[in-house]
Amino acid sequence: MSKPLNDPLLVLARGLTHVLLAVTVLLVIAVAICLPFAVIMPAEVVATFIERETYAVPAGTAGILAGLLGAGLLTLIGAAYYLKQQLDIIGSVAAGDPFAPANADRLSRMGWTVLAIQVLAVPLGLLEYRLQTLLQPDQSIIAFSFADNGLILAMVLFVLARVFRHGAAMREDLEGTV
Amino acid sequence: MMPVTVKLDDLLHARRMTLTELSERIDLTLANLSILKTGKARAIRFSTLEAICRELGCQPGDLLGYEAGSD
Repeated sequence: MSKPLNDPLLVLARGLTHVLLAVTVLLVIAVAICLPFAVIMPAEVVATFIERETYAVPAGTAGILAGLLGAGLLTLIGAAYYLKQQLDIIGSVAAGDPFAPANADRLSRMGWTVLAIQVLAVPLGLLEYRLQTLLQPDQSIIAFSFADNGLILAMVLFVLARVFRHGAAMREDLEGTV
Repeated sequence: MMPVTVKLDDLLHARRMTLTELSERIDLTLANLSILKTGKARAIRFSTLEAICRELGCQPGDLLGYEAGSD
């Protein structure tokens, strides 16, 4: 095994990832708590976030809110999972042993997580659009656009997973070389 | 058993040198040198071979042997 690395960039990345993971976990908890309230008291939840002329909400709002928060919750859980994998990879790099099969697996899982979040973005965007037409029909609709950054990121992660798998195989070849 | 054998023990004994001394002279860790001595190494770099031969005053053939059919 190589010597541990004391790279300032790694220290920064690790710290930042810890902070992001903590924030994401808090958001997961917050959304999970809000979800039942959105179903039981949709008017109150809407009033908290949107200024409207009327307090009452149209029929179907509770369902859309629940769907929105549910999809949002799944997205946040995915993001937390992604950050945890990233943290583990950073830890292995800091320990001086990045080219392990475990990291190839982590990168692959991160790629699938990003893809899943991209897929979730579609119903999330549609529900947002539907909610806005229901609650603020006179206002201009924020157009939903599909971001391709996630697809590019997923592709990069899958390629990196291949690189790390190959690196792990090369490292294994060198094991026992004096 | 690897078919390639390492006769480091005999050479060290003949030169009155310990494994620790040799590891310090050739800048190879004692752990790696032990791996070589006990026949657990999978490969040896030319640079390591050169350093051992230089310090023990021997040829690669004095250090390494081959026994067919012992894998």
